[in-house]
Amino acid sequence: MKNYFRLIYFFIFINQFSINHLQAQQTEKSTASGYVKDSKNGEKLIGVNVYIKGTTTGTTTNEYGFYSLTLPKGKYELVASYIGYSPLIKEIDLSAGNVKMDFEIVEQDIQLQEVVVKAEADDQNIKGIEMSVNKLDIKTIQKIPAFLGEVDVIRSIQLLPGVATVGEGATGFNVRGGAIDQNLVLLDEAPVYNSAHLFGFFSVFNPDAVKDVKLIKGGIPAQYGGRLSSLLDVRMKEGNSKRFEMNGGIGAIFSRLSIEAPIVKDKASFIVAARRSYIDVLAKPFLSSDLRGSQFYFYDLTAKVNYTINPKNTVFVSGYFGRDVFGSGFKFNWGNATSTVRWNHLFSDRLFMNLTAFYSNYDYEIGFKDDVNRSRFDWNSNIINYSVKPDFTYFLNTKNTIKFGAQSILYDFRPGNAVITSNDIKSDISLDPKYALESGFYIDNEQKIGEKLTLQYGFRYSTFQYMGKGEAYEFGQEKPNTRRPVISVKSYDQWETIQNYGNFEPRFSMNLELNATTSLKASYNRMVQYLHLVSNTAAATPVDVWTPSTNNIKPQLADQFAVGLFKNFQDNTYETSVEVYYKDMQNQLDFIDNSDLLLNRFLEGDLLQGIGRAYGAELYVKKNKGKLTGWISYTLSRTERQVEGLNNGNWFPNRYDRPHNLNTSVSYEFNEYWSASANFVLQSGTPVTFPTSRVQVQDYVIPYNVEATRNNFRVPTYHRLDFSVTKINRKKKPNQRWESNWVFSVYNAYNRRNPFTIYFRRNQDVPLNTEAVRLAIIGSIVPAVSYNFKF
Amino acid sequence: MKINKLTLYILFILPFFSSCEDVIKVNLNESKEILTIDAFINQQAEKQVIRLSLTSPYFQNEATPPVRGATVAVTNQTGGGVFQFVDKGNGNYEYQANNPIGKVGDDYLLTVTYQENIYTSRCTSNRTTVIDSIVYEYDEKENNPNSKAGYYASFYGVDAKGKQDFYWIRSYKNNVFVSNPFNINYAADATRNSTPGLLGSDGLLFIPPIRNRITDDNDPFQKGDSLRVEIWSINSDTYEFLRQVEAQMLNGGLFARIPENVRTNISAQNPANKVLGWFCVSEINRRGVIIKELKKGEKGKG
Repeated sequence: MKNYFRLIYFFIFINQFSINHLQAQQTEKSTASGYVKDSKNGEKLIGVNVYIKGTTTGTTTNEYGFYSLTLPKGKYELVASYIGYSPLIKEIDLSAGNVKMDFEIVEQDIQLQEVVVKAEADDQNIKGIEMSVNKLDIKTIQKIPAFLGEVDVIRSIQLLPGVATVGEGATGFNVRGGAIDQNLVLLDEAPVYNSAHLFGFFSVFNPDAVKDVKLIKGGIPAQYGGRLSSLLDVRMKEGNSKRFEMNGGIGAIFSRLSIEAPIVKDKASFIVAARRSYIDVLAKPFLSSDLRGSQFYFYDLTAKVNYTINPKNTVFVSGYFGRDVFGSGFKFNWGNATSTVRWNHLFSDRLFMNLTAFYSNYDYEIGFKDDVNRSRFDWNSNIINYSVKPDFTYFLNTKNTIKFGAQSILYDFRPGNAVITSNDIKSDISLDPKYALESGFYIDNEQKIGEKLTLQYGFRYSTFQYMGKGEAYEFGQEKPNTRRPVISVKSYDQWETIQNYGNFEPRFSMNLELNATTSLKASYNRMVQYLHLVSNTAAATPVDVWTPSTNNIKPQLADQFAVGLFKNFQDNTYETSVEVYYKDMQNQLDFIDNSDLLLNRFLEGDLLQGIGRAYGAELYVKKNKGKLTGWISYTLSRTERQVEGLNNGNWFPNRYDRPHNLNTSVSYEFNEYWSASANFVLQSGTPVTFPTSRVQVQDYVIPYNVEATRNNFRVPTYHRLDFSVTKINRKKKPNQRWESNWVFSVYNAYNRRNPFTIYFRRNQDVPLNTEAVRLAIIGSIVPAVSYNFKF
Repeated sequence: MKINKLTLYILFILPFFSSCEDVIKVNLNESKEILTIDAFINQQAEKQVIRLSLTSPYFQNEATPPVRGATVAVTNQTGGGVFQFVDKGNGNYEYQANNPIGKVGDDYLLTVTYQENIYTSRCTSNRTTVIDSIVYEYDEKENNPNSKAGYYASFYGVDAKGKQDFYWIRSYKNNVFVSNPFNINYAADATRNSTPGLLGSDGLLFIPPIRNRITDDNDPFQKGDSLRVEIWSINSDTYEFLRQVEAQMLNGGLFARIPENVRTNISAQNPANKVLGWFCVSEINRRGVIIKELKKGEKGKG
């Protein structure tokens, strides 16, 4: 541990020392720094290129829109350039010392597109170090034809290369052959444990409150840890700091409203956004009397306030609260709550700090009630986290940007509180809470070597402590794939360590520019994951429980290697890339046959751990400019695992293995009023386990697979076409503020019944007859209309 | 169960979802036949039956092929006595017990010899409890398209106090076992929480979902039908077996589990010979009722 600190020390200061040393010999330098914002609403922009006109010397804004550029003293012309915005050139005089300069850049409007000067640096994908990264800003997401017209972040992500899902309506997504619990989904830096409304049909992110979304699939920087496969970074809007703004809409599922406004112009602003499903309200008059008390709705509320105290200090407070509520003689509801407080502080023109503290809670509740019999069953479960996370960006010089920081997360797991009441007599079958502390620190440096080569190298060291108060169990050995019996129980006091883990996670990326439009990138990362989602169903359910690594459950590990070739054509109109990856995974969670995962104290005795591997190639072509925009991606991949006791000990494909995955998403602007978009998706069917035989016991006809092979068949190929047409009602006069649009969409346009799964059952009328059943979640064309407005 | 209900619910709240299930034709791999021994017997003075069959292709829509020419015997290793089951030529092997083959707490050994291979299994019989009453009423089931109109029954009983008990509740309509997988009804004490050593529901009345699972929603009772409810003592392994049978037979929908093979508690002397099935000796209690015509809102009791 101490050695690592020394290493960091060495890392930061040796570099600093040598630089200072060099500087003393060479010319004196000054720093230009500041924020880049959207001129219309004051939103800070992430990933904007800021560079000296006519050169490649420059930097990009960080997650908070901040840039810092240290240059030899002199006069410069600085350009701020960002896709979809007109580049802005400002003169800056660094001869007298450091200068603070903010940029407010203007978004390119469709009507103006033809007259706009061409952006000079839309080639971040070539110049930047990042690979295996997909960014979607909310405007792109809004163009994608959506299921029931509801703009959705997670469903949009599923159209990107390397992303798959187990099926329509399933919660979450699978990145490069990883399970759904291997994605770190962050909403303003706080983790969201269940990103789905209504199982998986909609995601919890209100599009009106989202600024942009970034999915990192590989070459994950040292800054992030805790999950194996990806980071989905969802950033909320800060709220318009220039004027009052209202957005809203009525769709097939949700009605939405958001309000943003300055509190102190250009200094403080807020956004509040809310959505609620309203089918229940419409359905109420049609329900029969005994169903009138039914509840079925879901809603979310997102809010954020930011305050720029002075140029050196900005504070953000944001929160999310959402819930799905179902009930009719039973109750079933679940939801996430997160809140984040962040403080951006500039120690100097070159040292930027973001300090985040967050709280996140996911919980669900199930209950059944029988008043006549005075009987009931109440059950709830939570995962609660508290975390503090300082992150520093040190803009050492134009060649080196160092990031370092640390994080601590305290977990409080409540795997199940359950009370059974039978004729007024209560019995408590709750499980004990579990506690854990995950900590980590990291440092990495992005270094330009010459004109062509950029490296990013660093590491993260993470630790995990599984702590009391509670009981720890030791399990005996059994035949593989059978329940292991408890052989000893040991009690621990509050905060007493039961098990400790520590892992060194090296990270490395490089970018070699072959020429102005081509680059070759490579990366390696080791990721460690201490949390596990315990789910033995094909699609995760809201009642699945998160569990920490314990004395019996080892942390998951992944090593990923990726290489990619990136090339842009026709003045960055077309972005193309080819990436290949290989991911090796350890300690993948699996389950014995007939496992009992809920309200089971000895759950660990029902778990298995195996190894996994995933590999593939991703081809991606994206058109950025012109009337026709969009992308085509094709992924050829495998994801498999090997677990002792399952599938006779042989490798078998994961349930989310889709070897071929083709996604097309295009959008066409006819004129300033009309536009149209379409998606086409073609994917291999997912693997399923089919029986060979029937076993008959006590008149029950039970399916049986004599060879005991898992995932031995595939459901038929999945394909689907969606399209939408948008009519924009533009403002007629410049001072008119009301703008609106109509979106007409058709999902599953040629009415294909894509099977989610195929299962086997006894015929209802003839008990000895059996049949195969195809379950299609969407069994018809789904048209929808939605109306959106902006004021 | 909960989840299935919810899945239906979603269909109800979002009519345009139009999720659909349809029966399709699927070609399955052929595989070899495995001997299956279906040996659930009890300690009543009545005919005891053990059925031997082979597994058959899943879609072969008839009873699995019978196994003839085996010798089947059950030995009471505590109370003494070897009971030879007679080959009836249709896969059934029967023993006419004029006296119970044993009592609660006795250890039993099943021995089956087939084609010179020996298969054995052991089981201890446990205590059971009694069914205090059966209650029924008429229900139109107007709001539930998956259920038919008829008399719906529930039973009342109390778990035996003092230790963890396991039960299998079986119902019969006109002396035919209700074999709908939705009616597989087992309990650990008064609920379905089987955590070892947990006596949370010890001595309670069986909770509602267990009480109500004696009527087949697809074929409820009608006036004049006879209903018999039996409560069989089982052990924790048999409880797990029934749980697995239920899960494998009702494994559809959005949240289907990955299919798996049901276990067996029968072992072959030569491990190269595969065998399936289950052996369990139960203590049982029964209660019956003839369904009488009732007015709406009235409750029948027996």
